[in-house]
Amino acid sequence: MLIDEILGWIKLNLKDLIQIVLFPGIAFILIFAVAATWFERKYLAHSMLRIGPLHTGRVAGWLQIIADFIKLTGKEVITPRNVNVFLFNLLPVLSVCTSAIAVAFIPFSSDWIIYEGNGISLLLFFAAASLTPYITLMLGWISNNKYSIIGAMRVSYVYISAEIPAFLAAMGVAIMAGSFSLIDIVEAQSRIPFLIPQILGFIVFFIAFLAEVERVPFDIPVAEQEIVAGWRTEYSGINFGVTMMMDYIPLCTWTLLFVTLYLGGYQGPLIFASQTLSNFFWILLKFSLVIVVILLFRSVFPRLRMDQTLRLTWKYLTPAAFLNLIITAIIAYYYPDLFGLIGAS
Amino acid sequence: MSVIRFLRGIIKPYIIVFKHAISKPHTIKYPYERLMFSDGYRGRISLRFEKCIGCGLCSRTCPNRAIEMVEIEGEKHSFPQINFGRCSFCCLCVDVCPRGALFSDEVVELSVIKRDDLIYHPYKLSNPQPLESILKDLKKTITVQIEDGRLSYTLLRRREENV
Amino acid sequence: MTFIFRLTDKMLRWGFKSSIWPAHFVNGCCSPELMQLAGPRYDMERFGVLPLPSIRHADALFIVGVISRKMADRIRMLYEQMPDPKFVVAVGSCAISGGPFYDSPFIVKAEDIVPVDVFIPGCPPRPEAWLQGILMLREMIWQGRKG
Ligand code: SF4
Ligand code: SF4
Ligand code: SF4
Repeated sequence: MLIDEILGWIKLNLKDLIQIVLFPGIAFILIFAVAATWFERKYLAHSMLRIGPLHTGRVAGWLQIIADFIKLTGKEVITPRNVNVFLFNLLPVLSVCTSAIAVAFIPFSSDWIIYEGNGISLLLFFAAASLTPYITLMLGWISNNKYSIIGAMRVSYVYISAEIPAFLAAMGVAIMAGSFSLIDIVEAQSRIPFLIPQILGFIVFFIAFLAEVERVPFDIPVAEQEIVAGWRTEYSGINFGVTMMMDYIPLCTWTLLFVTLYLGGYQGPLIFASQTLSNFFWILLKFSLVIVVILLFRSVFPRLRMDQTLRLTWKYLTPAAFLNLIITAIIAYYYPDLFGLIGAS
Repeated sequence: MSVIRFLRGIIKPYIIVFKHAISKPHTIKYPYERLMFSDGYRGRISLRFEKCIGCGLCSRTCPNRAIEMVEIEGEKHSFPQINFGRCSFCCLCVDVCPRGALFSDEVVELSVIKRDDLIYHPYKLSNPQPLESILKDLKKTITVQIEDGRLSYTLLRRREENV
Repeated sequence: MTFIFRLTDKMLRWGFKSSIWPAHFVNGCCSPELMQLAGPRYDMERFGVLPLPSIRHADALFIVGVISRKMADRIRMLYEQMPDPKFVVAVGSCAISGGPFYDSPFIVKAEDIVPVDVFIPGCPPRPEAWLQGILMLREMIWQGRKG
């Protein structure tokens, strides 16, 4: 009887369950984290004319990340002295969970989204994604190590200073689409992606989101040459493996948001028989292209200093984002017909 | 103008690195391929057992005192015993030997698990282990060559030959 | 049951073998060879050897070059901070037996402070020699031996 009820419940919620467990939920994020780690190591190695992982696994070292994780599970987990043992071991897992929440608001097709968010999914995305730096701050603070706490402080500096321009740039898109709902934003880009009318916002958002996911040139919180390994200095064993995965999950969610806001999201010509599959293909293609572009930054650019980052974000990005917002607002108020020309609301 | 310079400074290195990323890597897959060093490379020291006269010059010359003269039963004189854990591969001993009994080859793979294995007794010194038995996976060796007076050091133009 | 134990053991040994993350403690002039080793020509990352900054993430400690008496304390401290299982590689004549400074009263041998698993002689060891030492360490881990 209970079994029947459970089965009935599963049948009723089958689509939601698939979305949460498989795509774009847990399985997608985990596979992305593993694949992106492998791809980054291989890609960076090739960009330095090296080969990268090769002898683990027959083809191109594809087992390397799995070997790393098996090794990390076998390592000793060290808890430093005078540390809250429970929180110290809980927080890495918590950080992965909280940073993965944000993927729930990204539409992968007009009917394939975990939670529509009652028309304010853009705001909800920012709210969910902003949880991550809190956890990171706690991670660094609880480690009872000076490098960890410096790294944690840097996380909060960089995140706050990058969050504001990113949000203001996203507001331009919201005004243009006339809605906070990410589905509406994507639908408004059916004729032309917002990359072109919102070029200023596009540039601001791109730089700001690089800073938010701690990619080079903004990887100040984990600067190896200054503060050993930043906020994850004290974590060893599988805890370290989890914090390493933590790097890639915000990358995943923020890149998906970037694609959704400026590159037309799941829009694209029909190539498969089913509209949904075709939409999946387009968003994943754009997503992979953006990932390929930004992973290479790591071997091209040097790291910015802390003050340079703050100057860039507060002095240049925030005014530029405001300018973009004001221009968009003026056009939206006085010449709303212009938006009709490019297909937006 | 300065904006254009700034943008060029961002885009140009990106393109260069991307070109690298899609070009052929320069790696020597070491245990399977190996670079052959130039002639006269100072590597492992070996002994021609029958040529040594036990004069001890090598031992006295060695700046690291890595050579010790040891007695061997049944032989009239003593022989050099080299501690490769201390040797700095300067080859002064090779130069000073009046009989040319010591020589160096280009084997550098001397890693061991016990430190005592690094002390080479004269017998071991006179039976140097060939490279093929150290590197069992070695498939091909790569030789650096001189072309038109310039060292051709790129792997793209390498000459391959079997050991 | 034994089968599961064997399998787990084998998997763990395979994992340890194919992803050695070294922390390098460089005191001497052997270090350029380390750069060469990580660079394009010899590329130790082919074997999953990825240098990481923090000692807490490390599996192997490369003790490179001459160890003075003051440094010996630090090396011991680093070694004790590493999570198990840990391996130590002594690189260069200096770390193995003092090398050119064999008669100095201020030089300590690596084996006197920490248990060393693999010795790589040379002054400095060529990247080939170094890689062979890493291969030897891999082989040692795979066979479950301790140096
Ligand atoms: S090569 Fe130099 S250091 Fe080595 S044994 Fe000969 S003289 Fe001594
Ligand atoms: S190896 Fe040469 S220098 Fe050394 S004892 Fe023999 S003959 Fe003399
Ligand atoms: S072994 Fe030679 S190269 Fe290495 S630190 Fe000692 S003197 Fe320098």
